[in-house]
Order: sequence, then structure tokens, then C-alpha cells
Amino acid sequence: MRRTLLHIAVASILAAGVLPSVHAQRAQDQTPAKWTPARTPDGHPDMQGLWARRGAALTEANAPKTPLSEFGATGQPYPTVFNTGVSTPQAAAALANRPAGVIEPANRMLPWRPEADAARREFLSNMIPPASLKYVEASARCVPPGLLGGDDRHPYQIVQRPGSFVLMYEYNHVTRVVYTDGRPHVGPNIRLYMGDSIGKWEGDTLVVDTTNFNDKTSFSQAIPFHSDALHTTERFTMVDPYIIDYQLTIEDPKLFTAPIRIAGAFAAAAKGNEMLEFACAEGSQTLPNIFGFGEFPGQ
Amino acid sequence: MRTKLWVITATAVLLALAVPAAAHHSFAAEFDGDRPVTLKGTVTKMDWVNPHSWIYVDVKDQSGKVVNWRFEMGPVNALLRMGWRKDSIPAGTAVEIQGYRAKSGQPVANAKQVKLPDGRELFSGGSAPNLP
Repeated sequence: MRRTLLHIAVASILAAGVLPSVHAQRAQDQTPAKWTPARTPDGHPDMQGLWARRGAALTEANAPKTPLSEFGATGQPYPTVFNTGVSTPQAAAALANRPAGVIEPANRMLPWRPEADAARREFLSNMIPPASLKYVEASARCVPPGLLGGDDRHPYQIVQRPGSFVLMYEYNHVTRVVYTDGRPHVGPNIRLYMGDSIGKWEGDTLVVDTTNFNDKTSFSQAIPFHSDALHTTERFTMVDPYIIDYQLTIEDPKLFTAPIRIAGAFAAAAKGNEMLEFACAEGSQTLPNIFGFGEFPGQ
Repeated sequence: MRTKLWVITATAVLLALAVPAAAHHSFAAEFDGDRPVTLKGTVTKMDWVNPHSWIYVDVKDQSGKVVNWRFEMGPVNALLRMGWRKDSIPAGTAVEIQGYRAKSGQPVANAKQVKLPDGRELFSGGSAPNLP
């Protein structure tokens, strides 16, 4: 009975569109004239909390026609059902009028190097279904997601402390520690799945510079790799209680002849969400399913 | 009733959120959108795991032979947030599942929707296209 009442209460809140996050509550306590973010003890905007990432994808106008296209798996938005209650209606309303995906080049025709485009087209043509193990996409093997390859059905958590900004992905349990204490990047011989991130504050915007990637993660299903020359710049700016503006610049000179800019957002998660375990190896039966050899035992 | 309320609520919220998201991996690499399947049977177990939950169902074929099918569903974290619980579909439950067959030809499919004996229909949260 208690559980039923709890469910009804939560459902009523959801139906009424009232899902105050910690940030929302903060905002209600402030004068609405000009919103300013709460501050951490070291004086920076307090972005700590649970967020849903939205819009951050390499939405490509000239994506090759493959069986992927038919299923919306080209880095384009999936059906709304995938947004499983993590973000709030307020955030959804705010997101509706915001840019999402590739914003530069404006026509979303990605500046491919011909040889790199040919390599990905060759990969895609052998990927559905995979002609061999070589053509199994990285995410199907539970490889860490890289900056863009995460499954955004899952939330992100931001934790701040003096000298670092930590971005935790529920998906695949990835943690990115962005050092803001002035240290340089690690040496060039160190290559990492999620790269090496250092950050600096430009006013109220955190600018994150990431290098030292390996070449083992992917941009998306339609762009199933990147190179170890990848260099990214991310900008996090909290614009209101519900939205962190997120801008990402991708430079991968082995794939593209010019930088690509992406706009997205981290939207405040609905109250009640928590980070949960995500052990990718536990239930991944993708390889047995593709190659038809039963299922992994004892998952 | 409890589950229905959750599902209705979740649906309302989901429909309000027309925003992009990526998924774990490609549906089309594994399943065939041109081979929809609807099967009736009895649940033998559910694995509530990431990155995909699995529901196992005994299905009788035309000759009366029982085949244990398994259906891929969404990650348990997403299903939990959609209102599913570990006891939502106990073993022995009669279900009718719509989905798409695996390209491998094995008795495996991607679940699109699960219909319970009382008529309730639950989303799978899986990776199939055109989910409601």
C-alpha cells in the first residue's frame, strides 16, 4: 500500500510536470530577474548533480546510405522512448529551442578526407551484419564509449572539487577526471580510451582540452572510429537551473580537413534518479547473436 | 494497476521529451527489421542485467515441440526508470511478445512489446526501431 501511494505520488508529480532538481530548488529561492548559478567554495559555478546529455552527436547530412540509416542509427536521434525519464519536462522545453548536433559546418556536410571516408564506408558495408570480428562495432564489445559514443539513455554525474571537475558516465561506468589545477597533459606516449583532460575556467565557462586518445573508440555507429590524433575542446556553461550549455569542437586531422563543432546540453535530471551500476559484460549477448553460437553462459 | 500507472506516466513523460539519444549498439547488425515475429508462450526466467535485459519464453511450435526463445530488452537501468521491477514478470507468466528475429536464425529476437495476460502492454526499452 505504501509503495502504491509512493508510486501515485511520484506519478502525480510527473504528470503535473513538476520535477524540481536541486538546481531548480535553488533557483526558486532566488530572485528571478537574472539567474546566477550557485558557487562552489572555490568560486566557480556549481554544476554538481545528475544530468541527461542531449543533442551531442555527429549529425551528418551526407551520411552514407546503409541498412543503418533505416533504423535511425546514423547518429540521428532515436525514438523518444529512449529518453527514459531521466530529464525533466522543464529541461525538455528548454532543449526544444536550442541547437543540437553539428553546427559547424552549418550544412552538416562533414569535411572528410577521402581516404578516411572510404575506410568508414568500407566498414559500414561490412557491418550489417558483421562480415567478421573486424567489423563488430566497438560498443557491441562493451568498449568504453569515447566522448560521443555513450548511450544517452543513461545519466551523467558531475562532481567538483578544488582542482578538478569529474564527469561520471553511468553508461559503462566511465569516469573522466578533468584536472583544473594547471597541470599539463600527460606525455604523448600515453594513449587512453577517454583521453587526457585538463580544464581551465574562462569566467563561468569550463573549457576542457582533451588529447592522448587511442584509436579504439568510435564517434558513432555511422562513424565507427576516430584516430589517435583526435583533439577535443569542450565548453560547459550553466545557463539556467535546468541546462548546462555544452559545446564540443572536434579536430581529427587524420579524418577531417577542418574542425567540427557540435552543440548540445546537459539537462537537469529528474529528482529521484541516481547513478546505477552498469556492468556491460553482464548481459551483452551481441556477439553470440550475430554469429549464431548460442549465448555466453553464466552472465 | 500499479505497473499500468507507471507505464502510462512514463509514456506521457517520454512523449514530451523529443530529444536525441544514442543507443548501445546497432539494432540492424543483430536483428532483422523485415522479420517481425509475434510469439505466445510462458516465461521461464528474466535476466535483469545491462546492457540488455533478457526475457526467456517457452514457445510451442506447430508440431508441439517447445523451444526456449530469448528476447533482448533494454538495459535494466532504463527499464527500472520506465517503471519495470524485478518481479514484474515472474516465471510462469503467459506472455505475447512482438519483436524482430535475430539474423542468425537462432530462437532469439529483439522485443518491441510484451503483452501480459490481463491485456497490459509493456514497453521493452529495447533497441528496435519505431517503438511506440
